[in-house]
Amino acid sequence: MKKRMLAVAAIVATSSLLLAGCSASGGTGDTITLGATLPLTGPLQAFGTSLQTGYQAAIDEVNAAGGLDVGGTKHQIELVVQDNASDGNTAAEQAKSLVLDSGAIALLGPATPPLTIPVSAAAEQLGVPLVSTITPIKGWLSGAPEGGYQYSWDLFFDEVQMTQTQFQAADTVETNKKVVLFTDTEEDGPIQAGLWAENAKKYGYEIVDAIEFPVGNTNFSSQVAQAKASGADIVMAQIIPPDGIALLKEMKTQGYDPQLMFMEKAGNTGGYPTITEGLADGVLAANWFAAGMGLDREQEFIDLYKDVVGGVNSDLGTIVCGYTVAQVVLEALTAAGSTDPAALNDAIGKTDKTFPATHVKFGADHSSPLVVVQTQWVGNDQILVTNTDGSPANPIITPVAGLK
Amino acid sequence: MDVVVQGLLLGGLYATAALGLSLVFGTMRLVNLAHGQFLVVGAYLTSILVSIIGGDPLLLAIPVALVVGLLAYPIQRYIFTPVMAQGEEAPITAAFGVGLAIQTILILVFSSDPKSLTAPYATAQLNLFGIPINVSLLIATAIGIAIVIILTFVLKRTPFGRQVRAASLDAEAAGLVGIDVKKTYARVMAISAATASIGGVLVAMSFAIAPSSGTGWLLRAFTVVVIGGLGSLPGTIYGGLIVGLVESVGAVTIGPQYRDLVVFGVLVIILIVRPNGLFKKAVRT
Repeated sequence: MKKRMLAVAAIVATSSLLLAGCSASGGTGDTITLGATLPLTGPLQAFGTSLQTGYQAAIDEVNAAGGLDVGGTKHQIELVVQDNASDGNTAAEQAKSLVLDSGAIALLGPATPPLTIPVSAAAEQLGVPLVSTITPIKGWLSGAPEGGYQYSWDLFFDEVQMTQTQFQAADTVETNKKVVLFTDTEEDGPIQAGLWAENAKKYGYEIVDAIEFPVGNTNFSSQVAQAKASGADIVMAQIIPPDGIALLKEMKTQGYDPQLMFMEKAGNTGGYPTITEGLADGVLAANWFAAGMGLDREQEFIDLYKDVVGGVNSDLGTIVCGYTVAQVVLEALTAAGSTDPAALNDAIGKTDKTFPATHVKFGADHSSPLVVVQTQWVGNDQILVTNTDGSPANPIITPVAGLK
Repeated sequence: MDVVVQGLLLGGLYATAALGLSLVFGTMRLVNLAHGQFLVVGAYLTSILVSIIGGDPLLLAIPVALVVGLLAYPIQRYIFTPVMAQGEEAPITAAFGVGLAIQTILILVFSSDPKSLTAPYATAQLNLFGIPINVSLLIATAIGIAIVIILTFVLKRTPFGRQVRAASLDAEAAGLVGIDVKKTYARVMAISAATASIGGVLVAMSFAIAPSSGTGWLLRAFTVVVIGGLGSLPGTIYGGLIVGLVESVGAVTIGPQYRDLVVFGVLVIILIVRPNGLFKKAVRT
C-alpha cells in the first residue's frame, strides 16, 4: 500500500512538472534587454524623443500581451535608453555600455549618419545586431567597413529616390525649370548637391546656381540676392533648422518668394512652420509618413499620435519608424528562438514582412528602403503632394505661402 | 555697394551682441565665457513674454534685460568675484562652467528647437538711394551705437562710472578709498548681461537662436572685441563693422563656405600688426 502510494505521488509530481513545461503560455523567462542610445537633447532631439516613443510603444504592446515568445518561453522586454546629446562619440561609447554593462542583446538605432555610423561601428565590434532608421541609406553605407556591415541594418529612404520625388513634384507645377541649390558643408550636403545636379538634367531642369555654406551660417543676404537675380522659380535646400530660419527670413526680407521651396533636414522638423513663425508654411519636404500613403495601420497611428506631435508630420513618421524597428527586432527574436546574437542577426536578415512604416526586406547591403513621398507644410500638417508611385496627390500650393 | 552696406549693418548687430563682453573685460580683465548664454537667455525669456502677453519683442526686451541683469548680479558677486583672487584661469573656468549650466537648463526647459522672434519690421527692407537696407540690422546697429553712447556717459560722468574706472585701474586701491569693488563688479556684470540680452533679442529677430547658439555668438563677440581692442566700447563698434564687412565681402568674392577662414584670417593679421587691437580701450585710460 505504502509503495503504491509513493509511486502515485511520484507520477503526479513528475506529471505536474511536465505539464508546467508544456503549458500553452510556456514558462516565464528572464527579462530580455534591448538598448538604444538616442539624441534626447541637442540639435537632433526631435528625432530622439520620437524614436523613443515608437520603440517603447512596440515593447509595451508585447509586454501587455504577456511577453515575447522566445524558444517557447515568454519574456518581458526591457528598453534601456541613454541620451547621447546628439554626439557621435558619446553614442558609440553608450552603445558599448548598453551591451557590456546593461546586458542589451540588440541595439535599436539613433538617427542620422553622424550618430548611426559610429553606433554601427560599435555594433560590428561587439558582434551585436543593430537596426536603425531615420538614417539615409547612402549616407549610412558611406561609413560601412570593408566587406560591408555584418550586424548593422538600416531601414530608411534612399537619397536617389528622394531626389526623384522632388523633380516629380516640381513637374506637377508650372515653373521656369530653373533651380537654385543651397547646401551646407556637412557630409550629406555635397552628396545631395550631386544628386540634385544629376537628376535635374534627367528631368529637364537647370541648376542656375549652387550655393554652399557652412553649418551655423546666419548671413544669407548676398546668396539670396544672387538666387533672386537668377530668376529661379525653384529653391532646393539641404539645411539644418536654425540656418533654415535665417535663410527664410532673408528671402522674406528681400521679397524672394519662389514657386517651390524644398527644404531637407529643416523641413523634416516637426512644427517647423510654428518655429519659423509661419515662414515655412508651404515649404516642401521629403517624407516617409503622410495621411493617404496607404501604409499599414496608418489611421491608427495618426489617431494615437497626431495630438502628441501637434499634427500629421515627420515627428509622427519617426514614431512609426521607431515602432517598426522595434517590431523587426522583436519578431526576429521569436523567429530565432534564442537571444544568441548570431541567430538573432540571421533572423533579422530574413525579415520579409509588412510593418506600419513599410514592407521590410533587407538587401545584400543590409538596407531596406522605405517609400518616400513629397509633402507640403500646411499649418502644422505635412500634406501629401506625390503618391508612393510618384504620381500627383494633393495639388501643391504655389508660391511658398510663408514668403508671400 | 549693396554688399558693403549689408556687411556694415551686419557688423552693427555683431557689435551690439559683443558690447557686454568688452565692458566686463575692460573692468575686470575677465573673459566671460558665459556671455553667449546671456544672449540666448534674453531671447528665450523675451519669446515667453511675447507668447504670454503679446507685443513687440524689442519693447519687451527692456524688462527682460533688467531680469537677466538681476540674474547675472549674484553670479558675478558669489561665483566669479571669489575665484578672481585665485588667478586668471579660475574665473575663466568658472565662467565656462556657468555657461554650460545655463545651456543645459535652457535645453531642459525649452528643448533644442531654434527660436525666432518676429515683428513686422523684422523682415522689412528699405531702399535708400537704390541700396537695399535690412531694417532689423539697421535697428540693431542703431541700438548698439545708442548703448555705447549711454555707457560712455555713465562711465565718464556719473559716480558709478568713476567707481568702475577706479576699480578697473587698481581694485586694491579702489577698495582702500572706500569703493565696494565686489558690488561694482557685480553691477558691471549685470549691465553686461542686460546688453547681451538685448543683443540676443536682436539676433533672434534677425535670424534664429537655439540653446546651443551661445558658443557661436561668443566666438563672434570675442573676435569683434579683440579686433576692436579689448575693453574699448567704441572699438567694439568698429570691430563689429570690420567683421561684418569682411564676412559679407568674403562671402561674395571667395565663397560663403570660407567664411570662418576669411574672418579668422583677418583676425590673425590684425593681431600680428596690432596685438592690442585696432583701437585703444576707453575704460582704462
